[in-house]
Amino acid sequence: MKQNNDYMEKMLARKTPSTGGGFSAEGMKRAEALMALYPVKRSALIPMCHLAQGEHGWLTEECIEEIAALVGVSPAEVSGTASFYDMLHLEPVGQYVISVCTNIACMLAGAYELLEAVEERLGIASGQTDKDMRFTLEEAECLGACDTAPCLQVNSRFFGPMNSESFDKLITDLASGALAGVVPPHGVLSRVERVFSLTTKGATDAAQMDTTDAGQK
Amino acid sequence: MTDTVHTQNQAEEEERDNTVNIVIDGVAIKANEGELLIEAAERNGIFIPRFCYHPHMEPVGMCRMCLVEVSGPRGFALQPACYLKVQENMEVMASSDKAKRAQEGVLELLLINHPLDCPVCDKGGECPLQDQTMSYGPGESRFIEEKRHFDKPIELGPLTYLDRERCIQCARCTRFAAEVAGEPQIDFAGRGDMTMVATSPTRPFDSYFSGNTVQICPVGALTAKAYRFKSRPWDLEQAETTCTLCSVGCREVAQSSAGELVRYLGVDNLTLNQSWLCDKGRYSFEAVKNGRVLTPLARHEGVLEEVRWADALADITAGIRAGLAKGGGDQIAVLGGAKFTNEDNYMWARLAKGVFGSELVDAQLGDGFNAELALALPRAGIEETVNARTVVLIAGDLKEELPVLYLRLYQNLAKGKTKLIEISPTHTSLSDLAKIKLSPRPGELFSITEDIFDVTKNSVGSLKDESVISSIRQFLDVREETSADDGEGIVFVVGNANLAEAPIYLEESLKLIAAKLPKAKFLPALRRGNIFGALDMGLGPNLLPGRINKDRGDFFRRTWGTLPASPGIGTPEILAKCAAGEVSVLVLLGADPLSDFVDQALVQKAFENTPFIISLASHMDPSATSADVVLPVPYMGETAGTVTNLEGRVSVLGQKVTPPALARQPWLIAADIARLLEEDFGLYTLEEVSQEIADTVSLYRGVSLASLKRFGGDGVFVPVKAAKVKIASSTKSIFDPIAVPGIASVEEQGAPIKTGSAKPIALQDGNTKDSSAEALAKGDARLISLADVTSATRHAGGLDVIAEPKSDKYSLRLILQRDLYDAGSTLVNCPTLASLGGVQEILLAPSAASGFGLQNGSPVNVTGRGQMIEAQVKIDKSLSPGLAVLKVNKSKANDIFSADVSDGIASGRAELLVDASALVTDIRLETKHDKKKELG
Ligand code: SF4
Ligand code: SF4
Ligand code: FES
Ligand code: FES
Repeated sequence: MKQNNDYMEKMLARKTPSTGGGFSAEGMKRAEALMALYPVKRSALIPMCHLAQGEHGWLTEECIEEIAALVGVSPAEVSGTASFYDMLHLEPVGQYVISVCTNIACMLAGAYELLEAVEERLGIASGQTDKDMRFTLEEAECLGACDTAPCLQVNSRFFGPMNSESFDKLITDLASGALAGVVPPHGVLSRVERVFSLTTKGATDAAQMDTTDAGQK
Repeated sequence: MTDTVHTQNQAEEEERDNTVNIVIDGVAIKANEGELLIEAAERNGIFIPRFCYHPHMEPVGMCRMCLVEVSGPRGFALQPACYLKVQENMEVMASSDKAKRAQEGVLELLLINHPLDCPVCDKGGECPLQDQTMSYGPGESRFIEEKRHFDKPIELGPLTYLDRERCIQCARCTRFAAEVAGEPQIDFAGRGDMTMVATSPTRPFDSYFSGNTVQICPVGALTAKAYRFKSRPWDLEQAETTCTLCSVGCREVAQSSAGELVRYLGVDNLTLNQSWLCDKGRYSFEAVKNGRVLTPLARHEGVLEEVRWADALADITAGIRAGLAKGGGDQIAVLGGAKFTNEDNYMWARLAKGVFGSELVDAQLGDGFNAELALALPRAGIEETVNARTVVLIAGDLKEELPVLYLRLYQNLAKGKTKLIEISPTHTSLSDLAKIKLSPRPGELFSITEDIFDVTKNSVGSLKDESVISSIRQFLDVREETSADDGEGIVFVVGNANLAEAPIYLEESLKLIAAKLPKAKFLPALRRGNIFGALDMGLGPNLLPGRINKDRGDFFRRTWGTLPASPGIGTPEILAKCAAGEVSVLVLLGADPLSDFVDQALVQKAFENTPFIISLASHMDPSATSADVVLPVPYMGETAGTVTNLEGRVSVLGQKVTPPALARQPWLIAADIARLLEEDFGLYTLEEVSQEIADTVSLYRGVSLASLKRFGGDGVFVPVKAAKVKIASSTKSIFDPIAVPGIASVEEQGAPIKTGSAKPIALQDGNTKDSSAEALAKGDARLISLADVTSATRHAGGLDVIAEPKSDKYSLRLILQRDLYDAGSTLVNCPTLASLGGVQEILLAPSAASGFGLQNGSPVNVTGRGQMIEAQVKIDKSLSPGLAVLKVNKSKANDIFSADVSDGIASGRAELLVDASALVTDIRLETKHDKKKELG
């Protein structure tokens, strides 16, 4: 358990997505452990992609090769499968991946206005990353948080309802580090690592918004 | 009368007692159990439209074009005919209104995102999407929105472009890559309307078989770099022919536009290549235009100059006369023939052996094994091999040497239809599928074979793990008491896996195996194009036309007048004689020993010390460049005649384009030389030569160009088994324009095949009653048998394992192998393939590499025989320490086109390190940083 926490801390300590590279030695051990959970090796493919994304912020070429070798498929099959899922990124992303929901509930609540405001504030269009590699903006389908419409995610953590003012504040907080304990580096999912709650990092109230960690404190 | 008919019907009934009765569109049909509905319908003349279905791949039901109404418990429902197996009493409506509406609907949906840029699409005019839209489409689209857009085309690999907008997601290409080739380098990426075929970001689609995906793509999404925008389908003319780049001899059509060869497409047949080709064969048409020898050349004052044919032939005749005068037939050596036709080779064999009286004749260039042995071993066909109970591979990597044989074998191994035991020095493309894998070190093969097969020899475990040896024994059912049935159902695929090792180890092993397993069959993996045709026609040591040993050559002694007296020797010994100055004239029949023989020092010396060298060459290769007289001959696609593949299948070459104006068929050159030597053969046309073969060569009795053209289909096996040959429907080409788009109509192809339609045919013209098999059995010219094989004299008795090199830790034992893409004349003359040559790599075991402080890609120098070459390190986990693997005919530079050919290739050439007369070869490694120290 202690060891797990160390690994998690290491993942959480990553400031920005990396430019490339394969699994760390620890990550490789985890990948192998993950594979052992499944009767058919290739079933571990998606969890392993998340693991890789947790380490690097995106699915690096080196990790694709390593995953392919581990589960016994070709690299083209790994990248092909990963490309099916919006949550898996095959290209380097910014430090914060902002996913604005534009599905029906959010749309009715002003998602497009929000998206426009976000685009203007960040100076990039949906699907782009700014040149400092700080933000990647994407449009998302229903995030399952319609009660907080219009909503968005930052590195898979939920914020909503949002408008242009609260988004400005969100950006400022992200920049000042005020949300350090709430928004983890991109790719770090507690789904991969069900051991550890973000609340141990301190920000108790903010963590309540983190549905992926709900009930794990 | 009625009786006969009745019995016939009964017989047919019995033959197919596992049939099921179905009804399609009101017609009662007998289908085979387990058959797909689409196939049963097709065999009965009912065509159901399709895109993703392909007869040689597993169905996926991906495109829904084949929807038909099928009866079920809840009445009729739409089901994909390509995915549904027939069942007793199944009722099908293939052209009901509902089925038609479904098919229209599918087409309308497919066309929504299809760019409809047919006017600029390679496929336009031969496109299943176009054709089926015309026949089954709705006629109009309701879609007025904007279509999706992609950047196009993208380069999937070095030979293939992908236009993603045109793709209809049928998964033919991805299934081919995964299922047929075993290399899933492409797969679907994305989702929904953004689904596309893609490679991984790290690896291009550089499979040796990538061209097949272009051929089977039912739209113009995949296009071939070499063919793009070269022609429109309606301008194409075609001829069915055989690829002669390797001895698999794939059937294909050669297509030309405006007199220029522009494309090869594989022809669908069941027992040979099943419509697949390798990329080297497929794109080799480019070589027709580049680097050709266009006129006869003769060396005057050191320079090759254009001369007239008459002068060239006069020079040659004078040279040959002088040689004969000096010391008889053995002054004249004739090498090569594997690039030529059977007719060419017959005439050259007759000229060399019957006129010159020379026994210095060999079509192999020292890269195979004893020709007599190869011909004497009981031969297996490809179909028999890939369906054998057990296949034993004692050869190199089939993917590198005989690509489409690998393809056939891979599929059946992957499907578990056969089992593999691999006895090969390196990790091959099939190793992962082998039940048992043994890696003999150079010089160990015979001892291992003895361990396995010689039960009396008490040496089990002396070399290899005892349990492995005994499990191989179990697999092959090797027992102490040999019975006549031993080896039933086992096929050995045998070839020389290490060109830096004497073939004697393999030869002795094969003799032992054949003796211990009398029923086992062999598929000799001699690689060169028409090598088996050349050997069958007598272009090998101690051989005469028809796979007979010289000792049984009374017939030819009578008809040819004379036969050589001295014993035959193979190319390495012939070249040694040349090098010793004992040969006056060296004739190269399309052979290029200067880039295609493992012992370069020997060839160079042979070239220096032979006064008169004649090269019959299609391309200006290094050997032609060094010859004294060069005669232009046609290349693949320009040649007519017959060839024989590694199974013993004789097929017809279709000539599609005319050779350069001054090129002449090699057989004609032989006839001319014979005439000038006052030994006129009286054969003036190709047909006459072919008829002489059919009349006088027992093995080929009745197998002439004329009879093959009428009845041959995808070729016939010699010896022909019965006077009346029944060409089974299974050997007949299938013509399915959707399975293999682009082939309009091919002679001898009928669409679709019907069972029972194959009529027995007579291959002979009636005047010879016996079949060749019967005639051979009667003994007028007995086929060579194992007992006839002239036993090798080299190193006899010296087959014990040779001690490892141990002069120092930098000494390694060499395994020299072949890459499909070597720097031979195909790659050099095909611009599209040229960049695939790759650099010389030296494979090392991980421990060896780390011991030397080397990583993947480190440059090293490799020395041997006082020569030094450059190579890049590649670490190979499957290799054991003390061994190194290099490839023949490799260059130092990546792009042999842009590299300085003479220098670039030479300094990467491992052939400089090998001594053809040695049993095994040792080399030394010099890492760049300690070069000085080591040299000093
Ligand atoms: S590229 Fe061609 S073969 Fe491949 S999925 Fe698309 S349409 Fe089918
Ligand atoms: S496998 Fe051999 S015969 Fe077939 S296409 Fe390739 S080179 Fe030609
Ligand atoms: S519609 Fe936006 S979260 Fe459901
Ligand atoms: S679904 Fe049957 S042919 Fe495609």
